[in-house]
Amino acid sequence: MLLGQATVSLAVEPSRPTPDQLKFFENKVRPLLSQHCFKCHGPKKQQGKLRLDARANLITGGESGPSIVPGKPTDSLLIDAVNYGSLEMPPSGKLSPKEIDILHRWIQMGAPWPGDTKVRHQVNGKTFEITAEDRAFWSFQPLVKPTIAVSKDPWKQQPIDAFISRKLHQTGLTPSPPATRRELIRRLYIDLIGLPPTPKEVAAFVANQSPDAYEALIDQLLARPQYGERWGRHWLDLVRYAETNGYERDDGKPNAWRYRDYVIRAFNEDKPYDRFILEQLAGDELPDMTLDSVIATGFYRIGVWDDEPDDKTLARWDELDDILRTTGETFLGLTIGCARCHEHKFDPIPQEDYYRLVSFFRNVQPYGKDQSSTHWELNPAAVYTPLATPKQFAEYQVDKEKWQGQVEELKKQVETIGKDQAEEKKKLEEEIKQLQERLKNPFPQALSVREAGPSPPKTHLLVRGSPLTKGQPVEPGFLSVLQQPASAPSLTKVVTTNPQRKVLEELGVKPTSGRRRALAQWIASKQNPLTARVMVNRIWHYHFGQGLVPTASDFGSTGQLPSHPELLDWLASELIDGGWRLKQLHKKILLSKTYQQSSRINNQAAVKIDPGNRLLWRQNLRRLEAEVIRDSILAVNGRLNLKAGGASIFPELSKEVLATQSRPGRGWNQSSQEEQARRSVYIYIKRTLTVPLLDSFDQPTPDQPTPLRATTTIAPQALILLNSHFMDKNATAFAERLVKEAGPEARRQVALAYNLALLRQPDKREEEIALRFLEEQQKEFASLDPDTPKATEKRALVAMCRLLFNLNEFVYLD
Amino acid sequence: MKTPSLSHGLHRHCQGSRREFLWQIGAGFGGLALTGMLDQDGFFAKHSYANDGVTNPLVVRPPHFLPKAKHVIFLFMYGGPPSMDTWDYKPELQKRNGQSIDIETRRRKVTKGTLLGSPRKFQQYGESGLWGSDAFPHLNKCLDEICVIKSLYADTFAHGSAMIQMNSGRVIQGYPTVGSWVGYGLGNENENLPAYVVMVDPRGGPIAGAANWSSGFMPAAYQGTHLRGKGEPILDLSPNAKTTRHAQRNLINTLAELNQRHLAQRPGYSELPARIASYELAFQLQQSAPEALDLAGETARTLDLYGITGHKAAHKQSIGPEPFGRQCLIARRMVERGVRFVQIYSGGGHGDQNWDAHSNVDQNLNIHAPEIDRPIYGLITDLKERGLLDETLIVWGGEFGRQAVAQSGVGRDHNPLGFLYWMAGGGVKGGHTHGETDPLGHRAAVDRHHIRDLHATILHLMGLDHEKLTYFFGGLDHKLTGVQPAEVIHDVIA
Repeated sequence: MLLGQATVSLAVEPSRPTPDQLKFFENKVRPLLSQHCFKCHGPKKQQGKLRLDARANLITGGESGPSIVPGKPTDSLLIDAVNYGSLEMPPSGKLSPKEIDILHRWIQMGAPWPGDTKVRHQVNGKTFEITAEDRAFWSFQPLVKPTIAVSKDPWKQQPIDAFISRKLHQTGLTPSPPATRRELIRRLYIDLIGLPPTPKEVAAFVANQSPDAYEALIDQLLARPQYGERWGRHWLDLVRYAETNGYERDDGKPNAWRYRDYVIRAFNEDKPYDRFILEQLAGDELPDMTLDSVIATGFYRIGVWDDEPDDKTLARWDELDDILRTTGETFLGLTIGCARCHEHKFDPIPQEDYYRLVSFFRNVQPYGKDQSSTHWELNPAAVYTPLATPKQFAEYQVDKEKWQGQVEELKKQVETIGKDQAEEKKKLEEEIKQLQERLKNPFPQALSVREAGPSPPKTHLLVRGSPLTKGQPVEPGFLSVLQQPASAPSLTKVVTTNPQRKVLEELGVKPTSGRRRALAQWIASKQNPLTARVMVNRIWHYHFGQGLVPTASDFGSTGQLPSHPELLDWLASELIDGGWRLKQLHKKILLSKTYQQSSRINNQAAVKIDPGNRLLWRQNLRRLEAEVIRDSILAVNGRLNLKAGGASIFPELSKEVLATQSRPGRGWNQSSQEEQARRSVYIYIKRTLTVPLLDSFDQPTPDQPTPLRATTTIAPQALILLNSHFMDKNATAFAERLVKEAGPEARRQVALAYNLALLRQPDKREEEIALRFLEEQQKEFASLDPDTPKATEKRALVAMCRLLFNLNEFVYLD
Repeated sequence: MKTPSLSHGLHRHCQGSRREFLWQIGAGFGGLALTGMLDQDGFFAKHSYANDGVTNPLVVRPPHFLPKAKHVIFLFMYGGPPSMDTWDYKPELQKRNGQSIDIETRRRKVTKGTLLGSPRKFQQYGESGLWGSDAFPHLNKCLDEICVIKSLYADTFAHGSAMIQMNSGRVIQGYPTVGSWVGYGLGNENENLPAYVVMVDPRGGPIAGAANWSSGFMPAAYQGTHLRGKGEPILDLSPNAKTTRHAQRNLINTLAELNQRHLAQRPGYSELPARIASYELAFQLQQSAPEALDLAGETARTLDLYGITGHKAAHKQSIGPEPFGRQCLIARRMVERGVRFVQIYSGGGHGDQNWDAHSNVDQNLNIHAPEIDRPIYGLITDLKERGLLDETLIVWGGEFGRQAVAQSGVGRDHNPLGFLYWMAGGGVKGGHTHGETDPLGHRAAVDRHHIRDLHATILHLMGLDHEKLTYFFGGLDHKLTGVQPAEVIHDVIA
């Protein structure tokens, strides 16, 4: 049985049926209903005033009352009737126990029915009504920290385990035994820093009997700079980070990497999450703003941007839409973008809310300025902010005059220079040019938000989303469903007492409206019921491969319900109580027995009851992400360059890949071999040219925010891991490392290779296989090239290295 | 959220035989290969599965209704070919050549322009009497097989967004393309080849490159595979010079042996055997892909028919019919092997390297028309002779058409307001035209259709209902045709 999410324990009405549930309905349930029921209770006849051909009809029922109570088969008349209870249906003969069981299970799942997601009723021209039921939706409820009894029982010593084991217990399930120490250390390394441990680190951990060893390791990993690179990459998925604009020219976004580095730094510094939100949305408007918080507003500028739009007005609204959608999905887990053209179909978000929210961003300067009637070009004054501290600015004021003086002086020299001193003249002119450049651009630049001044334009609702049909004017306002009663945001102008802000204004940065700050403060508030819940669920998702709410960016009614609502709330409260710091939250999760469980499937009863493991009776086996695969290969062969930050790197792409561009090679530079061996998070992200290794292993498109990566298994992945130039180079480097460190003896090479790549010794059989493989490969190569035994030996060893990098054991995490 | 939610019936999943189940855990291009080996081990008999997280995204799925076509060959004239110089004969335009007129040349921007009559000569062809210009002397012989839709319009005057829209339905980058939707809806019939392949012009790719065959928010498994007619057909297909096929076989065998040991300790995870199978598929692909592309077995007559041999470039800026002819012939071989969606780009790079005839429309046709004329004639003739035309839908067109007024003397600027596409085979009426532009050929006038309708029609011919083929992402059931109303152009269907 392949019903992923349809578990007995989650007998709640699904707000949206999962694909598996729909398959179950179509394959099992609908045929039953159609064969036995529709004839008398269908479109043609409705005996007993009952129709069974739509879910709503089943719920409403007929003369005898409702036919089903979703989630409660025993309370459902349908089940009673097919069991020949108070009614005997179908009258032609009782269904088989198997068939009855199907109906029973279907109702238990909440009676999923395709196309039956509750569509909100809307009447044109009438106010979109938000009902009490809407406000009662789980994710809109105020956050209250649940309590749970802890005790000496190993699975009740801390709240996370207590919540998990309680639910397992209720379902008659038991948790899995702990993973081995070797599995655990690899799991921790990959989860926290995205790199495998070294054999030495594994040995030390396995040997360390201290009860604190595991906790100490967590602390140590959280303190490594690679933690930010790993978790920063997760964040970059959510904010559609790329370094080019897309479309015809797909031009670069210079200095976008500063935002990437900011994100990595924020994770490494354990920046409180509320602050992280404030900085990205309004880093230039905060009273305690810094240059770092200005860089954070690169958030606004990293989406797609068409520099030659058909309709410039519409394109401007598309730009705002991209910002609002990304903000809504990333920070609030709501698909607000759906309300751009009409009221949200599933969530209580009226169209007016969309425009009220968009008006917070209305004063954000457009990315482009007119270059011609049809083209835009990037507008540096709208998109860049000079990065000058007050001290640097003061120094510049002094230097400026000095440099100007030097320019004048040099110009005079050029005028007086003799004709025979062409060389000298050229040198002087070059010097002048450099000085002038420094005068013009004395500071590094941040890709950032800018506003045109303190007064935003009026925002109107756009009927059907069209800028040509302006509706009523709207004022900034938050989501109506969360306002009880409605409260207007407090909009205050930005104070300019901050010396940093003053310096920027002297450098031409205009005052802002303060609107974005108001929005950011509302999102980053303890009172906002979504913000903390959404974030802790993301952390959980990345540690377990699945969130407590599987739809990580959809906490609305098209999303799935939390498997453990109380645990989710407890974690969210812990995040807030812990000063919104993420590292303490990681630690709580990682210290749980739940996290440390083995991922082996050794409980057939659990497989039957909860095949999708939503109750967490085990840890999940996970495929490494694209970046982790690439970084692990580099780490294992010793080439990995851990240099952090700065401008992005360009791995070599083959001619064939570049041939897909209209100007092959355009916008793709060449990095040195050493630079190319840096971590994947530093690879340049170009929207129309992706790196095949990363792309094929499901690095997401950066054109849309991605909360959940796909995990696909396709033949091109195998081809790339077997035959690409990257693999040739890195398998060769691994082989060279083996020779260098293990010497010429094959047995020792195999042992070291296993230890480095798989963090263990090969067993007897594996050693035999490896030696046999080396011999066979060597024989093959020798038959082609009999004169160079040394070279064929090496080629065989390279093949073995390639083999190890392709193993499931290498690519999956226990 | 990348959770596929197919809203059409998926009957194989729960009630399928064990053999069908093996299909589903197969990988990428297909599935049966190595699963046979697992089967022998009794692996599947022993364990039930913890989840179905790795079902093959390209498993064969039943269409919504009986399809007319099984394959699409989309011939994309990048740059935007003119309608009024090809198959939309406009006597009124010829008559008023040189006259001044107020005309919309960019969105909501009306300017004075000078009408440019077509420099080409038109006549009627075949039994149907469809009009064709002298730019395509060979292709015109097939007009009785062709259905010309003359009244299409799209949303943008700019190449960048127009390319994206013609391929994905949207002017905003980041949505799945037509071939991705077809692969998602129907799966892949041939385990050894991709479902969706793309071939680009030797002069370069189209602008925005791979974004034109992106799977957008769908998994990468649905994106077009860039196929090269010469050299290495698929990226990283062959082992490099330092190893051999025999050595690779040995490596894959050893890999499977070790992976089996790993798997034995981790029963219940379907992704592990799926990944084992993917290597066997990759190995098979090394044989099947070059075989599909190898034209050595084709007769001299066939090669000549497609213009591959013996036809030099007719213009000094032209590359002649050989490259496109080769790609058309490969397309036929792909179709024979069950590939669902083949897209070939004519024109690459910039300026007159493609159909973007800003400076001289006559010259641009002299460069490009002969590059595709024989090849497409050959393709239609060959498919027909082999009985494949009925099940293969050929679609021809660019990202937009061109204007009735002159630019830089004798060139034409972009025009999304009215332009033509033609289709052949795959259940469309031959020798038929649908819709009309205004008498000057500038704007779609009669039976107007947004290109959404073209997309809906392509899906329909493939047995897919564009209203029902949905993919859930970001809180919305997305469709190729988006949220605006779209309709199948029933008049073009035989």
